[in-house]
Amino acid sequence: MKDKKLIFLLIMLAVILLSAIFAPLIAPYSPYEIDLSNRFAPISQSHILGTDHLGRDVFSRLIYGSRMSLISVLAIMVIILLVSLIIGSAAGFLGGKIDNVLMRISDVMLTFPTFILALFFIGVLGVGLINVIIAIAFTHLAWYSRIVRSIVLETKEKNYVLASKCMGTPTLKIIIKHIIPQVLSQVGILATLDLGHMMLHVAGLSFLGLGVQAPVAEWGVMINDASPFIRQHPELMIYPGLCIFITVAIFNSLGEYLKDKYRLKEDCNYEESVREPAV
Amino acid sequence: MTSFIIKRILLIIPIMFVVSFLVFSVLRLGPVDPAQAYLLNSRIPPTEEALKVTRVELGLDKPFFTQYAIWLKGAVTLDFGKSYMTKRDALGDLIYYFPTTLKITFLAMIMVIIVSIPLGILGAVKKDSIADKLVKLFSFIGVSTPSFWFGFLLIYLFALKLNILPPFGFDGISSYIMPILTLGLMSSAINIRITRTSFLEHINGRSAKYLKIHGVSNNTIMGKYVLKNSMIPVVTSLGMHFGELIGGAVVVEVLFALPGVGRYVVSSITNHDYPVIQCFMILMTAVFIIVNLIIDIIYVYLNPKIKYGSII
Amino acid sequence: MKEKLVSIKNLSAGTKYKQILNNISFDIYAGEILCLLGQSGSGKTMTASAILNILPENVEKTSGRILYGEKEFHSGIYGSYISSIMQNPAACFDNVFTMEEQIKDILKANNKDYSQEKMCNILEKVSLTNQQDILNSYPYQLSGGMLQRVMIAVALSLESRVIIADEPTSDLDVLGQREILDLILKLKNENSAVLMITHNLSVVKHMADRIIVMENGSIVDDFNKDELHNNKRHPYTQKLIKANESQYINKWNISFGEYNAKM
Repeated sequence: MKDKKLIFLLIMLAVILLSAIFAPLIAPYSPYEIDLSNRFAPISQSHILGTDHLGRDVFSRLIYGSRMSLISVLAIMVIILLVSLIIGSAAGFLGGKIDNVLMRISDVMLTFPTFILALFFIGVLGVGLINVIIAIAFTHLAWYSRIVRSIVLETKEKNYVLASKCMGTPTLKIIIKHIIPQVLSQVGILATLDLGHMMLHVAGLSFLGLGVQAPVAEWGVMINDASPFIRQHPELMIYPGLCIFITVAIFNSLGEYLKDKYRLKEDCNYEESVREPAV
Repeated sequence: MTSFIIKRILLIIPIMFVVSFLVFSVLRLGPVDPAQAYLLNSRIPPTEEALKVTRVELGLDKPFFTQYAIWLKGAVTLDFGKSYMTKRDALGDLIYYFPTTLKITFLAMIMVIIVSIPLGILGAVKKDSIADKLVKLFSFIGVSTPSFWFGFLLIYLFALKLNILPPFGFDGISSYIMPILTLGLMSSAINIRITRTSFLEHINGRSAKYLKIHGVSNNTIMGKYVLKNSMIPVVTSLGMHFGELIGGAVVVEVLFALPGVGRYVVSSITNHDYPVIQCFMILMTAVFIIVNLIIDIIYVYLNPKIKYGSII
Repeated sequence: MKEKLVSIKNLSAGTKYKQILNNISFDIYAGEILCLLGQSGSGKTMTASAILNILPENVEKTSGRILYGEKEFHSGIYGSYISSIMQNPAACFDNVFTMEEQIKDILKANNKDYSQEKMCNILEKVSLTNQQDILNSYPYQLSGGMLQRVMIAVALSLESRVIIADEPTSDLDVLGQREILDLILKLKNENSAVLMITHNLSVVKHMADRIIVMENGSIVDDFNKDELHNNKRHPYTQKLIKANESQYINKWNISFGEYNAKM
């Protein structure tokens, strides 16, 4: 019963991933092809979901839009995992002053809500998708580094790690052999839960005009583009919103499923309270 | 209790100091040249000559720490410099817009409390009933919905189709309804889950069972013991959500064209208006510190296990 | 003939996938200490939970009747009829309320006198000193032994006729165990009974009047204390006794024999 749910979620995820990867093959039109003679075309055989205010094919734009959203969240995750692994291991293994300084900085970062912090980093770096990715990754770093650090501290004292240390295994090898698998398995679940949130952050920042810029096919941008025509053509706004909703819902259910399955019971409360609303 | 509060208030000073330093230095480390940003905002072509003059004018030619000292000296007297865009006092501008932001944040917070705590408790008490399933469904939809999209849906439905609420701008109390619903949706959904989980955990806890065995009525157990216990994580989470609600308010203000800090801050970010960004961050820090202090006081009241001194 | 206080008839319980209790039937008589003996996982605590209707969420009572005297309790016996001394006392009290508040609510619910004086009085009965301090403190500030005693005090003050003690000594040191067991012995009188759940044979030897042995959710043996070394005992009981005497002989000595000398 439960596994049916997992299979369903994985199939849905695969559909989204595949449509992102093979966007040029699936999309019937170019997402940027403007046809002013055919604005706001209704649903028809040639345009499955009609066209937008510039006569662009909505369906094609949605398919290409999945690329932007997925690439950005995956990039964010990769950055977070890599950097937090470095910071967390440094803090956990080196200890002392380095640990202290790193943790105090993360304390300060944790006082700020992620969205405000992301706004600040965009203020520093400037507007654009890459900067949004860096900014959102940065805002989550403090939290992930702490988790990695605690995993490092815990694993470091495990008997098998102590044993291999006694045999003279260098620290770097211990990190690769023992710490990284631990981190990936424990943080992986949390990361899945967070992917949805990050996607909402990216879309929110795009909506504010701070992320992906106008002509690019991205779901948040599409909602923003459609907003002036909300009275006459609400469907233009509903489609991309539904896309975001469904993708985020899949990530969230997958995360919940993994969390239940691997029983992160002990910190389940803390973890949930730490998850913040995205915009 | 008093000494705890005084201690916490005194701690505000070093925290503000550290935050101000980090904010200042991170902005200076950024790839953007403030002088260039200033000139672009003033619509002056950034020639070598003009840049040189501006750097002197803004004190950017001085060493980093001198610059920080000058800025800090101003900040202590509440002078955060002038906005590059409007050429007005940055703090004055922000304070002009801030009340609206605070108002919708607080109202959204109230909505979150009113919606999430009763629904979470309902879900826990009637676990696995239809009501519980509906509550779960609502919270699942809530955490997955992009709030700005939800805002547009509300506008379409209530303002354009049903014509019962004003769509944009500020026009009496009713203009707050949709922004608050938009802003509070996600937090409500998350807090429903936290309340439900926490309540369930304590209903099935041993201490509740001990009371039950000895004949204490269900109403007393739920309404007194389980309630107080389960509120501990909820209060912590509400504290964190306040910050996120302010962040969300930026989006909601842009969406509903409300006269809050939202638009001003977004445009100062796009235009690299550093004095405003700095001032905004300092203002936010102050707000969060105060909110955290209030939350901690409630927390200490709820959970006697935490001693006054131990939370910083 | 002794008065029958509680009778359990054909009690079965289990989760969706697994039967935990198999057709359990026994009676508790006034004036006796009945020990429920068995290894962990044999269903001792589950039996007590079923009587008190505090089964874990995923476990359900599938059949059976629970009677107090002649009266049937469908949703467990509770209140002043029965009182419980549970294992892991630190988790049995609510850490965000004072002891006073909790004891008061229990007394109030059973229409007992809940004045300060009375509460101090009942704590004194279990030889707790500084009663006022204990009332004012939160559970986490008290030791396991103290909380265990408070539980006994609650049982005493409710004047319940049946007391269920589930591993009351599991978290205590040797001296603490001894004191708690002595207090429980004091609880026994002509009118009331104690159902004691334990896996510790030395505790059984010290306390029990009658012994029920459980294995894998079923009762395998039910006998009086003096029949313990009888050859007619169930093979499982004999195995338990043997294991206990060879392996834990020292523990027995420390617990109840010459513990003064060893100190």
